[in-house]
Amino acid sequence: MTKLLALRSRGATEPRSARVVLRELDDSEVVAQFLAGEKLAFDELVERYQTRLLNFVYRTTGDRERAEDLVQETFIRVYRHLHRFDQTKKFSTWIYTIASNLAKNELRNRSRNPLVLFQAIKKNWDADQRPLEWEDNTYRPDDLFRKRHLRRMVESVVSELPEHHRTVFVLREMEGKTYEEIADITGCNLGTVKSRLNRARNNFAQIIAPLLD
Amino acid sequence: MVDCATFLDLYSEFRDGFLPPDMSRDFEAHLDVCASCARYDQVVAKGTRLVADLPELEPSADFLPRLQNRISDLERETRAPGQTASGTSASAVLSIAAALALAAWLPVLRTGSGPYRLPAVTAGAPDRDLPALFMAGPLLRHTALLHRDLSPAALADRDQHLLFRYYPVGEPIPASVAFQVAGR
Repeated sequence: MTKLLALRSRGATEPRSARVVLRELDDSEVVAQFLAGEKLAFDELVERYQTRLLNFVYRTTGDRERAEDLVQETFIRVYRHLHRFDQTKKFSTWIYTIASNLAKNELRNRSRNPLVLFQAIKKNWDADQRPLEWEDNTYRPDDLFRKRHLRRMVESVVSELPEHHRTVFVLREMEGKTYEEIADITGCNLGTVKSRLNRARNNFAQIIAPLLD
Repeated sequence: MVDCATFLDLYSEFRDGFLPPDMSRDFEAHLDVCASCARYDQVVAKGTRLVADLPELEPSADFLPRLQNRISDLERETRAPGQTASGTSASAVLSIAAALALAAWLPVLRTGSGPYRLPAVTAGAPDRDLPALFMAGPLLRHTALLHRDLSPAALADRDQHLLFRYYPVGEPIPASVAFQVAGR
């Protein structure tokens, strides 16, 4: 942060130089820069989070176009309310919380909308009811096809997890969030996060097991 | 010794390294002796590796321009929070409204709050055939003049008042009309 302030005070208003300096700052420093009036700091936050949030929201909602819209909305909310953000907290947790809430609302609205019921039905399938199937040796495609197919199947398996399991699973396995961060993002207590993650992994294992042989 | 149910219950914490060291060792030992739990551990490990390796989506080409447009709109709103869509400020609108209200109330305000002075009314003594002239309109009619003495002296007497009694049209006027003199 000092570097950027020094750069600005020397009259170096070149956006490129400012962006280079911003890139070296951690999230909290970039947030502080934005709140101090450095508009480029917001671009830096967008740069850092757009892809991560897009993937998180996409894995949660299963709809790429809507995921982009929701990530846009996330950034708009960040822009509007950043002055209210408690800077003692982690910015990444805050922005993921916003995105997660938007994704949750999207799924809730979708489940009320009969036009998209097809997707909703598939996603709300309760994997808990599925019997354990560890062995399935009937599937032997060639390697390349198998790899591509497997990738599609993995995506499909993730999307089949019940919503509250899926969010926790994606945050842990794909975003690498800690249990505490997941608890903050989802608004659940730590015990709920642990049990949901355990059940999500269990569901995931049951569905993916036959595909791994 | 850990059984399969406990292993599955606490598996996530074991996998993420949140179990106490001695419990974690028990779990490791259980994996050595239980093929089913060992298989479960392998499936989760391999499956989650595949999940982590899924290709990342990239935002579409118009993602940033769209966001920048929306941010620009927001900035415009933030810069002029009191402005309406026409560009007229809220304070200007309020000033115009106040001026219009003032213009509307001006005649009232200008007269002040003093007593109203009405134009003088002059009345003359009625003729004897006054009843014929005093027809009060389509709905009311009056009796004959009720005062006997219509001389200037009698009219100047402030204790006496000429009174008429009015009746609705169509209602018969009593034969003996009342004669009233106020104050008597």
